Order: sequence, then C-alpha cells, then structure tokens
Amino acid sequence: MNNNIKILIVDDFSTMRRIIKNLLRDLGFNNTHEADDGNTALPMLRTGRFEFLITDWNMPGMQGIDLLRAVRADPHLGKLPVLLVTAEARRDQIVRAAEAGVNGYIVKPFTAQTLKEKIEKIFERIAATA
Amino acid sequence: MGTADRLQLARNLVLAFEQGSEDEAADVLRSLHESGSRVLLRNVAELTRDLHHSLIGLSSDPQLAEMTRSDMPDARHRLSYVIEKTEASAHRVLAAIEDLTPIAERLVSGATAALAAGDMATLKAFIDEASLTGELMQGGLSEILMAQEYQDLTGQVIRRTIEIVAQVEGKLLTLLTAELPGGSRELRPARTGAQGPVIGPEANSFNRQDDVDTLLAELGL
Repeated sequence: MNNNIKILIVDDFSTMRRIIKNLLRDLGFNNTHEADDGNTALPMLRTGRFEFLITDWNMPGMQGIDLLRAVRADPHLGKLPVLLVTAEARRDQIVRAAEAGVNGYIVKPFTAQTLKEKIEKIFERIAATA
Repeated sequence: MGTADRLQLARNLVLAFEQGSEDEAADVLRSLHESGSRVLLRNVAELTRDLHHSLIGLSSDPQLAEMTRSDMPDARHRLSYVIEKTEASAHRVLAAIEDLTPIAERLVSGATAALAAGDMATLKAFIDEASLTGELMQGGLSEILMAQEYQDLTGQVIRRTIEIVAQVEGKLLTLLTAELPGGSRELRPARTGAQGPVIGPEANSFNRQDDVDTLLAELGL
C-alpha cells in the first residue's frame, strides 16, 4: 500500500477530523486533508486528485450518503474508494450505503485497530481487482 | 349593529343638536355607546372562544401528546447519555495520565542515574528501557486521542435534543398566541435520514463493528 496517497477526511466535528487525521498519521498516512461536509468536500474531490475518501454520514449541508452517491455518479470520481465512519448504525442505513457503493463502513465509537483493518482491506480488494 | 345603522344614529345626533333637542341627543349618544360596548363584548367573547378551542385543541393534539409521551423522555435519555459519555471519556483520559506519569518519572530518574553511573552497561540498559517507555507513552497518547471521540457523539445527541426543545417551544408559543386551529400547525420533521448515535438498545441497529461487518459480508462487502 502506498502510504503517500492523498486522503480527504470529511466530518462536521473538527475533533473527529483530528482524531482520524492523527490515527492515519500513526498508520503512516501523512497526506491528509479535511472538509466539514459534502458541499465543501465535493469541489475539493473534483479538483484535488484525492485517492481515498473517509466521510461521516450525519452532517449539516450535504450528508455523507449523498456525497457517496455524488462521487459514484461523477465520471471522474466514480472509482474513488470511500470509507464511511459514522454513528449511524441501523440495518437499513448500512444496506443503503452498500447499495450506494461504499467500500467500507465503520461505526463510531471505533478503535484505531478497526480503522487500520478496514483501510488495509479496502486496498487489498482494490489491488486484487486491478 | 352595522355601519349603516351607526351612520344613521350619527345623523340623528347631528339633527338633534341642530334642533336643540338635548334629550333626543342624549338618547342617540346612549345608543351609540351601547353599540360600541356590544362590539367590545363580542370581541372578548370571540377571543375567549378561540382560547377555549385552542386549549381543547392542544390537549387533544396528537403531536403534543407524542412529544410529552415520547420526545421529552427521549430528550432526558439523550442528555443522560451525554453525561455518561463525557464522564467515561474524562476517566479514560485521567487513567491514561495516571498510567503515564510514573512512566515519565522513571524515565527522568533513570536518565539521571545512568548519567551519574557513567558506564556503558548502565547507559545501554537505560536506552533499552527508554525504548520500551516510548512505546508505552505512544499507547497512552493514542488512548487520550481516541477518548476525544465523545465530542462528536455527544454533539450529535445534543443537536437532536435542541430540536426537541425547539419543537416544544413552538407548541408553547402557539398556546400563548392562541392561534392553533387551521393550517398554521407546523408538521414535525419526519424521523428519516441520519439520526446520530444509537442510544441504548434499539431494534435493527448495531452497536458493535462485528455485527456491522457480518451484515456487510452478507451484502458482499
């Protein structure tokens, strides 16, 4: 796995963005950027050549599930790996996220180990299908 | 009494004054005054009836009943969750600090002792120990980092509680202004979409990543 990949972290709570940013740094990923909802994230994704998206679901403005759908609908972003990190943990929500094409789903509260495993799994799958 | 009637009375009044008939004028004035009082009384009666209807409407309002029955206890429940979560987080940070403090103290005293001893064997032993100490400290710092997640989770819960309070406030304002009947009633936002963390046991929800992973595997992820 290339540790220098460019990652966008989207969460409306700055504390959670910092936590994820720090965890990623511990895992060796230093090229991280932040946005506070889908509306600010989408233009960044369209111009910023990001290689991985980690997003919350419940945000004012554009929610994570809508950001995911917008990414999948965009011809240039369609294949971007997306990991949802969210407190939304209802069965129908997880099904909706899967149907929308999410690559991984982590429920808050989560551990550093879970984040590590999910990211590794996503890149393993991408490598296997590439 | 309508406008035309009152206009006629006013004409009669002018006529009575012009003819110098004081008694006639006094009668007309009395009629006009009584007509005004009746309008006032009718307005008070209407207001009273409206208020009465509003109160009855409020007591049988399914939205308000639902708020009292479900939303208010829900808000209390949510605020209790905030207390639990912030308390647990504070303890988590304090425990990490209590664990790290003696480790840091040992590192300082070890360095002083090793420098005082001055021989290579003691220095090497100290460096080995310092390496382990560094790992312990990294672990403690991660623990403090992860403990900050409470802010996001409780923030979502407090936001939802503010919504509930705002809805109750709206209802009470409606009562105060007594304008309930008709289409002015605001509909509560439907409970769909994102709802924040699951608090307590709830059907069809997962609190553990393992359960989520099982479902995701079923879905081919």
